[in-house]
Amino acid sequence: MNALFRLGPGRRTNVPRSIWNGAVSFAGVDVPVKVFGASDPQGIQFRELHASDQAEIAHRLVDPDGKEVDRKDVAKGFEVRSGEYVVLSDDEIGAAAAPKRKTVDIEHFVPAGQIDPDVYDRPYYLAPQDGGEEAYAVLVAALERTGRVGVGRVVLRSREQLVAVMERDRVLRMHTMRFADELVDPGKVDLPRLRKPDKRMLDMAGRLVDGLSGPWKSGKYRDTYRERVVALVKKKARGEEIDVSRAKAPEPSDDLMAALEASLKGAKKR
Amino acid sequence: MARPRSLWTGSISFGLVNVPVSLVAATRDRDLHFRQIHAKTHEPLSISYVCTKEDKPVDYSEIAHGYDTGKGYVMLTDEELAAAQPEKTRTIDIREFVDLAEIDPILFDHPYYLVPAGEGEGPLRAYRLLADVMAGEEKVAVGQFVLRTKEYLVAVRAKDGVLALTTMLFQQEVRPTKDLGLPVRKRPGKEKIDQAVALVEALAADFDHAGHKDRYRRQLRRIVKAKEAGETIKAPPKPEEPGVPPDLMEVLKASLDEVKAGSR
Repeated sequence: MNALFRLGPGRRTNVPRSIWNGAVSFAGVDVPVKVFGASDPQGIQFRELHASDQAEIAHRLVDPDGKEVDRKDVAKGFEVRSGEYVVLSDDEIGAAAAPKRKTVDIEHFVPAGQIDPDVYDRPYYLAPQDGGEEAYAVLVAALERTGRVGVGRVVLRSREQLVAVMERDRVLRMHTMRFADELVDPGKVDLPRLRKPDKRMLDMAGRLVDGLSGPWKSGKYRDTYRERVVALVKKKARGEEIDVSRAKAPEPSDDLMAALEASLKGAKKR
Repeated sequence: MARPRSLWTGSISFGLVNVPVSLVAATRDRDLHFRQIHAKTHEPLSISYVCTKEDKPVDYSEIAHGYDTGKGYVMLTDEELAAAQPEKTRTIDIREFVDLAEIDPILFDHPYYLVPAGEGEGPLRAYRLLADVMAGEEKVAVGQFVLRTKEYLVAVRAKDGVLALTTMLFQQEVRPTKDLGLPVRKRPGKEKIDQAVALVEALAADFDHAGHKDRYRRQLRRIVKAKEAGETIKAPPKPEEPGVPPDLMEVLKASLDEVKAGSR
């Protein structure tokens, strides 16, 4: 539910707060850690406004007649048959994940390269708890030397998660992982019949790819849209008109061979 | 299989080759969802969008984006937002091809598939060409585009003949590890590392993704059934807080002995 929007452009602070304290546990060894969020998405925060009068929009919980319902009269229900709900309290829902200990239980250590990055969901950093620095450093060194990633489970926010614990630049990380049945198999994607390209085209495309290949440098990519939106906001605040005649979509390449030839010529010139 | 809902339509371009595509989900929601209901009547509740000035419900289509400048809101419509950078809202422009293994997985955000959206023979061929030229190579195409109100860095690769797109975080969206205030520690003794390596190797396995089932989902379904049958469900006990092991070497040794005894 997107009931709450952070107000304004949202200045973020640099002081992280741990979201969970416990231990990474493997083969009976506990490495006491604190868990921190590792990502800080910088999307633009908007407030929902009513277009006609620019008033703020509120989200209200209403019954089927549209009557507002007080928070204290709200329960969580699971629909077992159409229109028939079983009510569960948060404690009862919480009973579905009742760990004995606050641990990330590592089941296996697998070669890092065997996990497709699409399996990874949310990234976290792990930092040692006071007194756990040595155990932390030992696990870092062992993962570094073996090139392996720990796969295990942890209860975070009262849900059991599949996680991977890995090392990078001497820091332990934990990624929550999607279960296999939560990912759509590429074989299940409905594609129209696609004719195999002939060898000459494939060669040309291969050369084009080679020409555009380079080493990966994450830092050179920047979000420029955000700045443009802020500039647009300033323009509009000054009362200027915004030109919404959208840029034309590029022409689909009907003559593929001609497009490839022109691309290769262009790539050479660069 | 029914064609999944398109989340975005535009084109992907590399060089001067443009391929019209639709973005579709590569994830499916398998979670059990609870609905907010009225505690007494069990009527399902819903969210109503209410204009706070007129105090009356408004249709979702009447809602615009308000940007808080600190001195009130500036309102932008969807069209104006798209006008901020029209080319990026309609085209995934492939800037370069890189080795997948070089990209830090921390950047990977959400997976999707791209499916051909054009009708003509040319675009369909171009789709297949892009998929085929990347197939077998551990290469991914890197580009940028705007989805809804945010710009994403994306990696596009071929998976079984389908173009798979994964949104990525920009490096600036990853928290620097120096913010964690990690203690600078000298490398632990070799003996301890050796013991830990032996433990890691004792638990070594190949990654069997499908072998890891979502036990939580199953457990929650069981609890719903039990509750429906009128059983009492007890609140979970507080989990035990693990402490700091007093003597790491001893723990490592004991664990290794246990692992060895178990594997015998």
